[in-house]
Amino acid sequence: MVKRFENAAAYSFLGPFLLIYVLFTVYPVFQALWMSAFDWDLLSVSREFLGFQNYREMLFGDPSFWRTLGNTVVFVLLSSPLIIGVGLLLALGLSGPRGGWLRTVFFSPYVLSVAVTTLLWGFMLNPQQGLIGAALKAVGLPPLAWLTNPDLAMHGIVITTLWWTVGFNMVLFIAGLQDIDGFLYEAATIDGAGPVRKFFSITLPGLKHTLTTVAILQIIASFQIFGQVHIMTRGGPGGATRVLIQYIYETGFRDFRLGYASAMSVVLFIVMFGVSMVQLRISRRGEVE
Amino acid sequence: MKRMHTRLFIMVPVAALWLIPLLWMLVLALTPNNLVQQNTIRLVPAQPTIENLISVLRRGLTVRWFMNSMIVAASTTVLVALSQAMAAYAIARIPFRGRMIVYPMILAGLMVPREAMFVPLFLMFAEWSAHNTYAALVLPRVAIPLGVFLVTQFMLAIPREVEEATQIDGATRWTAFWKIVLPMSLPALTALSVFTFIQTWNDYLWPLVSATRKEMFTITTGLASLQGNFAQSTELGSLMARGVVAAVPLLVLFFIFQKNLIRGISMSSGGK
Amino acid sequence: MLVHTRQITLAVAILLVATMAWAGGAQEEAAGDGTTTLTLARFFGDCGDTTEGVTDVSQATSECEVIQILTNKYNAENDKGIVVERLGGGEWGSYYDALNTTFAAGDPPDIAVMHGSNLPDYTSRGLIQPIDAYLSDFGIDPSDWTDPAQGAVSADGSYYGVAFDLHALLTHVNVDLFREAGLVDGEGNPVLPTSREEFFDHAETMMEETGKLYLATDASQFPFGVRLMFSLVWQQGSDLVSADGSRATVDTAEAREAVDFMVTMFDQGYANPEFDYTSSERAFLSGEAAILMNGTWAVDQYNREADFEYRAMDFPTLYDRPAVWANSHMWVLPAQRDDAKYEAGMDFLAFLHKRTGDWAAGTGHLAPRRSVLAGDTLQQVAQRTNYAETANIAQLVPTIRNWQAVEDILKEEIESTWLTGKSIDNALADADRRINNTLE
Repeated sequence: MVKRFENAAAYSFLGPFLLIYVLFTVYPVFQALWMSAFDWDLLSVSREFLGFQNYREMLFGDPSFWRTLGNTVVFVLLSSPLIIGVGLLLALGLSGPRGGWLRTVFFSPYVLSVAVTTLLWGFMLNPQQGLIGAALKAVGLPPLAWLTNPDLAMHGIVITTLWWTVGFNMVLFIAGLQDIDGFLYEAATIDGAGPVRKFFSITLPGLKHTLTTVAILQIIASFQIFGQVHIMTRGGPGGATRVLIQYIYETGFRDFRLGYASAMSVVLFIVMFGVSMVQLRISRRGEVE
Repeated sequence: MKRMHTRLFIMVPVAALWLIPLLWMLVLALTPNNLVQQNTIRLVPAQPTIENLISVLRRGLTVRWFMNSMIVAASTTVLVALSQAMAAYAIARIPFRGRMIVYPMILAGLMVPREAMFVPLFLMFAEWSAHNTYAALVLPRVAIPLGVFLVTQFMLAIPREVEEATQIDGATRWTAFWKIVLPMSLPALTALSVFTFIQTWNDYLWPLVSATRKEMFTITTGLASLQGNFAQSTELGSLMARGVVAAVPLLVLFFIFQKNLIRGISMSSGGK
Repeated sequence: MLVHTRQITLAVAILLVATMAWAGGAQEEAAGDGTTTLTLARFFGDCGDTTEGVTDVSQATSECEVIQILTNKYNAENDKGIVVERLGGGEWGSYYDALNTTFAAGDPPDIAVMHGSNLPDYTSRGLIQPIDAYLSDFGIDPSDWTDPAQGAVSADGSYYGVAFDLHALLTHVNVDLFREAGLVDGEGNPVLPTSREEFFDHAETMMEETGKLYLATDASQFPFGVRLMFSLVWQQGSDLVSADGSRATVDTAEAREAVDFMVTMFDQGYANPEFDYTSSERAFLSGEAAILMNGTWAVDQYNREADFEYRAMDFPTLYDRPAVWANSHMWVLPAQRDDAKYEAGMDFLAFLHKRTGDWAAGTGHLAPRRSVLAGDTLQQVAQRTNYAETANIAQLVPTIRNWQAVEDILKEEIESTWLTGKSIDNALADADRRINNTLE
C-alpha cells in the first residue's frame, strides 16, 4: 500500500505549536550556547568573544560554582528520596475506596503558589514565632533556628518542599497501584505470603514504571529549585542554601555577566540531561532482565 | 476491610497534621495585627476579625495580582491545550514527510531545563520591548512540549476506524479532529490542562525577571515581594490575609474539581 | 480541507496577537489629561496600605512610612500634574537585581533610589542622567551637601544624584539593663567599651548580672557582619579595598583581628549567631539583649516602641581611632530614550531635597546638608544629641564597580566563620581571592 502523505494538512496542524516551540524552547538553547562564548554585559552593548574561557573559569577557577552545584546536589539527594518515599507511603496508606477525602488533604498544598508556601513555612520554622518551635518547647526541647542555622537551613527548605509537593507524587503512585492486577494479591494470599512479602514481590515490581516516572520528574524538579530558597533564605545563612539557579540568576542580574550565566545554564542542562538518560538506561536494563 | 481501618487510623492524624499550617494561616489572618505581633502561637483566633481580609481586598494590589495570575494561567492553559492537541493530532494521525524528525525534536524539548534558560528568553523579550506584558508571561510556557507527548500517546491508542468512518462521509481533517478525536482525548487534555494551570500558577523565576511593574506582578511574585521586609513582623496578620486571599480561591477550585484533577494527573504520568 | 486548517491556524494567530495587544494596552495606560506619571523604584519596604491618603509626615511610624508619606504629599500638592508611582518590590535583598532587570528590559523607572556604593556600576555604563545642568534651576545648591554626601553623588566630575542621607551603624542601648549590670557612669549614663578587652569584660558582666545577651545583631540575613568588619578594620587604620579600588586587601592582620573579634563574640555566647534581622530586633525590644547593633534608620521606631529606657549611642571605638561603617542614599534619574521626563523627575527630587530634614527627623538618618545639620530643628528631635558624633566618625564604604558582588562575597565568607566554623585564615584568603576576581 502506498502511503499518502498529507504534508500541507499536517504542517498546518503542527504550525502554531512548532512556531512557538522553535522560538521559545529551541532557539534559547542555541542562544545560550552562543552567549556562553562571550563576556556579555547585561546593561551595555559590550560583548567580548572569549571562546571557552567562561567554561574554564567555571570548572577550574570558581569555588562558588562548585559550592552552589554541591548545594543543589545536596538538595536533590535529601529531597528526592524523601518526597518519593513519603509519597509512596501515603499512596499505600490511602489507596482503595475510603482514602478519597484524605488524598484531597495531602494533595491540597500542591495547588498553593510557592509564595504562599514560603510565607507559611518561613513563619512555621521561625524559632520564636513558629508552631514547630512552640511544639518543641512544649515537649521541653529547645526551638530550632531552622532557617538561620547553616546546618539546618537546607533541611528547613526540604521540609517545606515535602509538605508542598508530596501530594503530587502520592497521586501518581495511587494511579500506579490501581494498575496492579488485584488477582496477583489474591494468588499471593492463597500461597500464604505476608504483607511485606507482597510489597516486595508484587507492589514494588508493579510500580516500576511509575517509580521511574516519578523519580525523573522529581529529580528534574529538584535540580531546578529556586523559589523556596530565593524567598525564604536568599541563599543564606553563609551561603548554605545558595543553589545553582540562584547563582545563575545573581551572576546575570546582580553581577551583569550574562555570558557566564549562560555557560552555567548550559552545564546544568547537560547535567540534567545526563541524569535523565542514566535513569532511563537503568530502568530499561531492568526490563530486559 | 479490617486493614483499611487500621490504615485510616494512622492516616487521619497525619492528615490533620498536614492541615495545621493552612489552619494557622487562616487563624492569623483572622486575628488583629497587634495581637499577632504579641503572639503567633495560636490555633484559635482571639478577637476574630475580618478586617485584615477586607483591607487586602480593598487596598493594595493583591486582587490585581490574583487576576493577573488567573489571566496568565488560563490563557496558557487554553493555548497549550489547543496548540499541542493540534500538533499531537498531526503526529498521531496524519502521515507526513518529516515526522521522524519533527517528533523526536519536540520530545527533546522535554529535557531543556526551563528555569535555567531564562537568560536568552529575557533578552529576546527585551529586544521586542515585550516585557511587562501578558504575552511575555504566557508564551514561553506554551512552548513546553509535555502536552504534545501526552496527547500523542493518547491519540495513538484511539482506534483508527472511528475516524475513518467519518472521513468516508466526506468529513475533513479538521472536522475529524474537532468532532471526534479531540472529544475522545478529553481525559488526556484534562490532565494536561490541570498540570499546565498549576505549573503556570506557580511560576516564579520567569515572572520575577519579566514582569517588573507591580501592576504586572503575578500573585506569586507579588506575595514574594512582600516577604522578607523589615516591616513584616508588624503586619503579620495582613500578610497572612494576603496568603489566604491567594490560596482560598485555588483551594476551592481544587475541592470542586478534585476528582477530575487527581484522575487527570494520574493520567499525565503516562499511566493507563 | 486546507481551508479549515488555515482557519484554525489563523484563529490561533489572532488569539496570540490579541493577547499581545491586550497586554500592551495594559502596560501603557497613558493618561490624556495632562498629568505626567513618573515611576519610582525604591527599597525601604512596602507600606502603601498603612499610609493610604496620609500626607502628614509626622504620622509616620517607620522609615518606609516616611518616604511613602512624602511621596503622597508630593502627589497631592505639586501643581504640575505630576504623579509619582512606586514600582513593585521595595525589599532590600532583591532591589538591585530587580532594578537591573528593568534596565536590561529597556524599561527603567523614571526615578530610583540608590546607595552611594552602588552608583559606579550604573554611571560607568551611562545609565544615569547627570543632573548638573538642572541643579540651579531647581534650587539645589550642591555646596550645601556635606563632603561625604558630595562624594557619594558624584562621578567623573559630574553630579548624578540628589543626596538624601548618610546612614551609619549605631549602638542601640537598653539603659535599664546597663544600670542593672552596673555598666553606668556616675550620672547613670551607659558606658560603652573602649577596647576589645573591655568589650568582653562588659559582656561578661552583663551576662552575670542580668542573664541577658550583651549584644544582638542580625548575623546572617543582611550584611551586618560586613558593616561591623569595615568599622573595626578602619578603627585599626586599615581598609578592605585598596585606595584606588582595584584590588582587595582582605587578607590582613587587621581584618583577622576584626573577624576574630566577631567570632569570639558569637562563640562566647555574648551574641546569638542564629538571629536574623527581625529576631535581633525582637530580642532587643523584648529586653533580652542589652545592645542592638543596627543602623540609624531605626532610632525613631525604637524610641517609640521600646518599653524600657532607650538610648541611641555612637558606635564604640575599640581600637586606635574612631570610625564607623556608613553608606548613603540618593535619588537618581535613570537615562531615558527621550528626555521629556527629566524635568518632571527633577521636580520630585528637588521636593525630596527640601525635605531631607523631615527624613532625618522621622527616621534617625544623618542629614546630608550642612544647612540642615546646622539648624536647630534636628537637635531638638529625641535622641539626636546622643549620637551627634556619628556624623564625624562615619566613613563611607568604597565606591567601586561590582560593589554588590564584593559585599555578598565578603558577607558569605566571614559569616561562614561563625556559622560553620570555617577557619578565619581560609575565609579571609578565599574572600581576598574571590573579590580580586570580581574586581578584575
